[in-house]
Amino acid sequence: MSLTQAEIATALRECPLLAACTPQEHARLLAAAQCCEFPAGTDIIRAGEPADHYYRILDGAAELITAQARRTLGPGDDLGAEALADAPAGQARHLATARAMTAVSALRLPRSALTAPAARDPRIRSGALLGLAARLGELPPPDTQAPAPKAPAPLPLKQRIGWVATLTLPLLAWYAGGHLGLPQHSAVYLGLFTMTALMWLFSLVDEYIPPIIAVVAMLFIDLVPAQVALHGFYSRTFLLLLGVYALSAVLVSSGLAYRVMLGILARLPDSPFWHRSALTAFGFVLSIVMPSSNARLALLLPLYREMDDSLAAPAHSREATGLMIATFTGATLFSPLLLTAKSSNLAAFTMLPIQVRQEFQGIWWLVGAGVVAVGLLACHLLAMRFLFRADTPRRALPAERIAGQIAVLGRLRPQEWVAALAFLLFLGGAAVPQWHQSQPAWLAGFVLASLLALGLFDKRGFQTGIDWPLIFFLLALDGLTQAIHYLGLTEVMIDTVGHRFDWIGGQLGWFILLALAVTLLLRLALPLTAGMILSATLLMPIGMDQGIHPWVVLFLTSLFSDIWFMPHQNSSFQQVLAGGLRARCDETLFFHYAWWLNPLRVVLAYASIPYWRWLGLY
Amino acid sequence: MKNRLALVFASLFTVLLLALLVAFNHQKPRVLILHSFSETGPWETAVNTGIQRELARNRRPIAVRWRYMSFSGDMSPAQWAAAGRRNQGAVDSWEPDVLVAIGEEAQVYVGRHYAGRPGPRLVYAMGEDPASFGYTTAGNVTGVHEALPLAQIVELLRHLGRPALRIRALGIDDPTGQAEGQQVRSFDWGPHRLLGVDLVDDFEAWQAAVHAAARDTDVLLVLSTGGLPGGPEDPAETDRLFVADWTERESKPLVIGVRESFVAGGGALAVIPSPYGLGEQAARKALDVLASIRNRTPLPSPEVSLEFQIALRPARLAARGIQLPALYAQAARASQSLYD
Repeated sequence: MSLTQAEIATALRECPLLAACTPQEHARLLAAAQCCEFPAGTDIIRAGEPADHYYRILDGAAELITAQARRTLGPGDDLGAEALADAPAGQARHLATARAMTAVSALRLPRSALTAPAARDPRIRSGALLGLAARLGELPPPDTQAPAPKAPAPLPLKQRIGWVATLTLPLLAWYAGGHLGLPQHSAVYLGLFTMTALMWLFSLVDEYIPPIIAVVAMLFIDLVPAQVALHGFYSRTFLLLLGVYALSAVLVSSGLAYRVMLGILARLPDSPFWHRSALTAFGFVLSIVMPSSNARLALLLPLYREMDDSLAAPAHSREATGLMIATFTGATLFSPLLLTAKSSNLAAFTMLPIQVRQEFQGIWWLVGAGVVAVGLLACHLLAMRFLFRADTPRRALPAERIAGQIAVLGRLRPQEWVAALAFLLFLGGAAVPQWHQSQPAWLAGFVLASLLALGLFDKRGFQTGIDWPLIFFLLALDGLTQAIHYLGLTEVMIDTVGHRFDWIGGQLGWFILLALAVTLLLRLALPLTAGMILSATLLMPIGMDQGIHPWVVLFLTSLFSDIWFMPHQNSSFQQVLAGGLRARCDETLFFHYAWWLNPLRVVLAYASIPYWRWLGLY
Repeated sequence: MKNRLALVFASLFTVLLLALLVAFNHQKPRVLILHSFSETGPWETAVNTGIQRELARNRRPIAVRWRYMSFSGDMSPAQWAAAGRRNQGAVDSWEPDVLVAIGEEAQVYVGRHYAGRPGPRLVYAMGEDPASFGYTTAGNVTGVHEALPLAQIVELLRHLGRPALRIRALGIDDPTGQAEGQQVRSFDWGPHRLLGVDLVDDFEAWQAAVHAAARDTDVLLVLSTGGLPGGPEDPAETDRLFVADWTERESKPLVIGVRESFVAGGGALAVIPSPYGLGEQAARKALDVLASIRNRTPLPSPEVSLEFQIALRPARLAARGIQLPALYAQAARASQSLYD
C-alpha cells in the first residue's frame, strides 16, 4: 500500500493521539512518517525490544500478544505507544508483541519525532500510555479525542469601545495638542500617552504591553534618544529587580520558605491570634525580597489551606474569615512600607533625586514609614485579636503533624543554607550599607551572580523565576516617565498648573489631600503599578515645587495606591477568590475589613506629619 | 489566541500605528552632516561633540545622518572625486532638508554642487572663504566661517612685554594654507608688524623657512600642518606631530600654533579656533535653517565662528623664559588642552 504525502498527512491528522499537535508539529511529523508493510505472520513489535517507533495500522489485522491474553487489532488501532514514555533512549521497551495476522500496512513514526510534541502537551503522552494500559488490562480504550474547540466568546462591549477609542482618541489628542499650542514633540507624546492610558483603561492587552509599545514608538520616530527611553535598562533598578527576583525564587525552590513557615507555626502558641500573626509575620519576611503581593500570596495560600483544613473552622465563620484576612493582609499590608515590597516602589524610586535615593535605599524607607508601619500593624493585630473571635469551640492546630512535616524536611540542605545566607547578606547589606560601601542594587547583583555561579539559580530558573514581563513593564514605564522630563513636559505641566496649587502653601496636610485625590482618581482607571507611577510622575514636580520632600511624595503615592474599593482594582483579591474565599469566608466581612484599612491609611499619613518633621523630612 | 474581532482590532491598531510612525518619519526634517575626513579624527570628533551638544538641546524630532568622505587624509584627487560622487549620490537619494558640509573637501566635492540649486539647503562650516565656492551668491546657502583667532593672538602678545613684534606666518601651499594665509594677511596686526606669509610645498622647505625666520622674526605663527609632503621626492605626508615638535625645538622665535595638534606634538603654545564651538554653531545654524523652512522665512545669515581655545605646554613655554598669566593655563585646562 503506497500512500501519497497528502494521504499520510490526512492519516496523521485523523490519529486521535496526535489531535493535540500544532500544525507545525504535524508538518514535522509528516517529514518523519513512513509507510511500512508487514507480511502475514511477521512481528511488528516484540515484547522487551526497544520501543523506538510508534505505529498506526492503516490496513490489515494484527494480533497483540501479552502473557495473559491475545487481542486483535485493525485499521485505526495503534501499536508501540511505549515509544512515547518519558524514559532515556533505549530504556523504553515494548510490553507486548504484535504479529501481523494478514498483510498489514502501518504508518510508522520514530520516537525522536514524538518527543517534542509529547513534552509540549502532556495529554499526548498520557493519552498514549493510558491507551496502552487499557489494552494490556483488557479495558476499552480511553477516548483520546481532543476536546472540541470552544467557540470563542464574543468580544465584550467594553473592549470594543476600548479598541475604537484607542484607534481614534490618540490621533485626536495629537491633533488637539498641536492646535492648542503644544510643541510638536509634546503633542506626539500626548498621543502616545493617550494610547497607553486607553489600553490600560479598557484592559485591551496585558498591562505590561502598552508602555512597551509607547517606548518603541518613541524610539522609532526619534522622539527621545535611546538613553532616555531605555533609561531603566541601565539603571540600578534593573539589577535590583533581577537580584530580588532571583533571591525570592531560590528561597522558594530551595524549600527554605516552606520550612520557615512551618517553623514559625510550630513555635508560636496554638491560638487563633498567633496563627494569624504567623501568617502576617511571614508576609512581612517575604515582603523584604518579593516585590509582588501576588507572588507572596501565592506562597501564603497553600499554607493557609493547610491551616484552614487542620483548624476546620465552620465555613463563613468569623474564625475562618479571620484566617483568610490574615493571609491576604500578610501578603499586601507591607507593600508601601518597604522599598522592595512593591515593584512600583522600585520603578518610581528612580524619580527621586540621587541623594534621596542613596538615603532611602536601605532600612531608611521603613524608618521613614515608621508611623504608618506601626499604626497599620498595630491596628491589624488588634483586629485579629479582638474582631475575629471563634464562634464555636475550635480544634487545635496539629502540632504533631507540623513536627512531622519538619522532620520529613530533615536537616537544612546545602541549598537552603545558601539561600538563607544570600537572604541574610541582602538583608544586612540593605539595612547597613556601610559595611560593604556599595549600593544595595549592586549587592543584589552580587547575590544574583553568586546564586548563578553556585548553580542554585540555573538557566531554567533564570528564564522562569524572574517575572520578565513585569520587569519590562516597569522599565518601559520608567522610559515613559523619563521622556516626560526630557521633553520638558514637567515644566509645561507646572506652567499649565500655574498657581492653581498655591493653596497648598507648602503645607503637608493639604498636599496629602491632593495626593489622595490624584492617586484615587488614577487608580479608578489604571492598574496598581501604572496608577502609582503616574501619580508619582504628576505629584513629584508639584510636591517639590511646594517644598515637600520627594520621598514623602513617593511614599504617599505608594500608600494611597493600595487603597481599593472595587474587586477589579486589586489583583490579589482575584487570587484569594480563586483560593476559596467565597467557599470559606464571609465575603462581606472580608470587604469591610479591607475597606476599613483605607481610611486608616489616610489617618496614618496625617499622623506621620510630626514624625516626618522630627526626622527632618518636613 | 485572541477573539477574532479582538484580533482584527489589534491588527488594525498595529497597522495604523506602523503607518503613522512611518509617515511621521517621512515628514520629519532631515539633516545630513558631511565631514571631509574620517570619523576618528580628533578635530572631527571635537566638531561632532559640539554638534551633538547643540542637537541635544533640540526637542523637535529630526532625522540626522552622519557621513565621512574619507577613511584617511592620504587620498589621491581621483579618490576624492570618487568619494564626492558617492556622497552626492547619498545626498540625492536621501534628500535631506539641510546638508551640513564641514571642511574644505566637503565643499569642493559635494557642497558647492548644491549651491544655488533646488534641493537641500547648505550649511557650510570651514576656514576657507565662502565666496571661493560661490556660496555668497547662492540663495540656499548659509554657514559658519571658521576664523583664525588672530585678535586673541595679538592680545596674548601683549604679555610678552615688547611693544612691537615682527611676525611671520608659515603654512602649507594648499587651499587650506592659502585661505589661512589670506586671513593673516588681511588682519590688522598693529602695533605689531607682519613680515610675510610663507607657504611651502614640503617639509624640506618648511625646515628652511623655520631656520630663515631666525634672522628677522620675533614670533612665528604656524598655520595648519596637515598633509605636508616630506620633500620633492617624498610625497608621503609628514607626521604633523613630528612637524610640531621639530618646529618648536628648532625655531628661535616664539612659535604660536593655530591648531591643537601643534601643542599635542610638542609645541609650547597655540591659540586655536574651537572645533566644539564650530560644531555647536553649525548645528545651531542647521536648526535655524529648519525653522526658516518651517516658518517660510529667509535663511539665517552666515556668521563667523569666533570661539577659540588655548592649548598650552607650560614646560616648553618656560624653557623659552615666557610666563603667561594663570588665566591662560586655566583656560587650557578647562578645554582639556593643557599638556604636561
